[in-house]
Amino acid sequence: MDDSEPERTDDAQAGRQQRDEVYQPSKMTRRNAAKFLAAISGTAAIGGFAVDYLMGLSAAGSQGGTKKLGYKDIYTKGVRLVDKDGNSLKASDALAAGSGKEMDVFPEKKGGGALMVKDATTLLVRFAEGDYQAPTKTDGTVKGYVAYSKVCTHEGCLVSGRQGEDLHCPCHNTIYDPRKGAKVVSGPAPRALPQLPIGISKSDELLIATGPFTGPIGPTE
Amino acid sequence: MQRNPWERRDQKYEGSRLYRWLDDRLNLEDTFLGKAFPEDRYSSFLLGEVALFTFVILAITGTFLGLLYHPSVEKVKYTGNVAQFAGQKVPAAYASVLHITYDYPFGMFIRMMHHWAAYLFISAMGLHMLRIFFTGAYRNPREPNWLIGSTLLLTGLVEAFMGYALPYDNFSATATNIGFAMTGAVPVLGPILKNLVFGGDFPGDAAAVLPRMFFLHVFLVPAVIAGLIGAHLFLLIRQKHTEDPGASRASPEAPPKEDDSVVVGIPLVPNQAAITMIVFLLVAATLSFLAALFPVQNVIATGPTNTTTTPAGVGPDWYFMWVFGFLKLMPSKVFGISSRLIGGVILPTITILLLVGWPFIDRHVGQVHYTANPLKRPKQTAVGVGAISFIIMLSVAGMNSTVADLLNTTPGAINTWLIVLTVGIPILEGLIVYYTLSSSMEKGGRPAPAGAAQTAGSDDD
Repeated sequence: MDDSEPERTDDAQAGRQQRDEVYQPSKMTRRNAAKFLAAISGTAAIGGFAVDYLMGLSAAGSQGGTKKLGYKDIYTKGVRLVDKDGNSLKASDALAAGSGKEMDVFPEKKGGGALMVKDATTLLVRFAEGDYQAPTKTDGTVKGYVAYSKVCTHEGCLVSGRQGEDLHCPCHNTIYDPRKGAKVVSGPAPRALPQLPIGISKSDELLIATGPFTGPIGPTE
Repeated sequence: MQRNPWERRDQKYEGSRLYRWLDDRLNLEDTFLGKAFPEDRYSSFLLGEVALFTFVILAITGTFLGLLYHPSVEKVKYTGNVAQFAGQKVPAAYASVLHITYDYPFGMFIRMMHHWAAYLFISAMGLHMLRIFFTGAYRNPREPNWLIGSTLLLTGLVEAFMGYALPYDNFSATATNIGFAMTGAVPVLGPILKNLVFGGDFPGDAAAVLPRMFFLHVFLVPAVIAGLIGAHLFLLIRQKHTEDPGASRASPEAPPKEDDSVVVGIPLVPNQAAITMIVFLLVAATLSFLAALFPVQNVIATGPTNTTTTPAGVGPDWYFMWVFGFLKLMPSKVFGISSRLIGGVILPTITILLLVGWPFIDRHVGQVHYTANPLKRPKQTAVGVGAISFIIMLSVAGMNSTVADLLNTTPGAINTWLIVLTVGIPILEGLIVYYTLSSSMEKGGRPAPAGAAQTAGSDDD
């Protein structure tokens, strides 16, 4: 492209110049411009296809199955707590008073029966009424009963074990203290188990939710 | 290709009509059948072959299982030999694994063989990689094959994860659940990745997730593995083996050690082919022995998946225990970063990047075609020993419940100690190895010029 000194161009130099035009990608030649455009359009075609392909698969995944319940929709005010067979629970004898024992409970579906999905699995624990300290929301406890989500906030296992009075997740050994708002005593979980505020129905003394869970269920952060 | 002066033309098969027929069409007389396999004293060069044959056995046994397995979570009535579940409604996937294991002839044997082969596949790849590491066979020009090989190891882990999920028993469903949650912890891409890999929410959409994992396990991931193996072998043939000239060039007829432009070894056909056949039969025999006498993954004991409890003592197979260690050792927050991000994503990713990128960390400008003596590479050998004990310590930490039981204490009480040991022991071992090897090299009276680790390592003893 630079021909300001044509008289000094001998054969070898011309050859080198020609080679440079082919091999120097930085040099603005028609050939390089064509290559550049071809590369761009090729990348765009393949990239566009790849993105569509992957996003299609991903979107199909998110639409594939059941709608995931938000934590505010699992329990609402007045929903009964039931055991896995769908029996409602009497506050007087569901768990022995002050025993510190626990059981799995679920929200009652409309028309009866337990909503047995993982995110709805709830731990019901009963200590003595005075045992609870902050950050337990004590107005969400009743007659020594307290309820927490059973889904570990670490990697979503179910907090199925006990270690002494505490709750123990068998996957990575997070320990939650049920008398202190299920806050993390030790282990990797990033936050406490969400509490479910509960009360008793006036007419028949059955355990009911008095509102939704206090926070998102399972691993979110 | 230029013919090497010491390569004797093999006339042995000229009498065979089959050979001549094939040779006319495929030009067998080319160098391929004579590809040199260098001798090595410890048979450690055969580890790659063990991994290769294990993959073949995985494909054969996997075909049997794949044809009989049913990737569905729909509850069906199990009617078979297992009294504990007879007449009960269990997920179809679980029922089909019960059928394979207890109701079909040879099913138990084939399933156990598949499971043991998976263990051997991962461990053979790991040991092969260690051989490559300690003999320095990853150095220029063989970095591409280290990249392919380490990708193979990681793809093997993905394949194992997908397969572990399929029986849909309570252990495997928990493992899938943890993998699903960990994927979700990846910043920005997490939700997309989760849907892409699992095809829905787990366990909520298990009906969609299980078939997807089945397809990934029996088609997509194995296809990737097969392709990578092909590329791995192509590069091996193209670049040739590294060679330990002390072992392979001991005879006076051999070319001089100074000439590393050729590889000296026994030919693929017939010598190495015979050895290879023995390796294959030994692998098959070992796996049969293990499968027949040592059953693994007892799906009856763990029971079908239960979305409301996680069984006590749950843990992954041994090859994922190091990831479990990262997950368990993290406190809730590290410098304000969530334990899930740092323990489940960042630290495993750094470990993997260090592994895959090692040839570019330990860079070599000149090309090397001989194996190194690990005793003469203090730095690299120290790193290797440290890395092994790091993975072992992480795995011990992954089993901290068992460790705590043995010590009559709780996991929470020993976690700080485990963190200190997981960081400290590898560093300590690395330093010991480094100083021991360095000082023994000096005592050996050998003049140690600059760059001794790179050049001196190439000749033997």
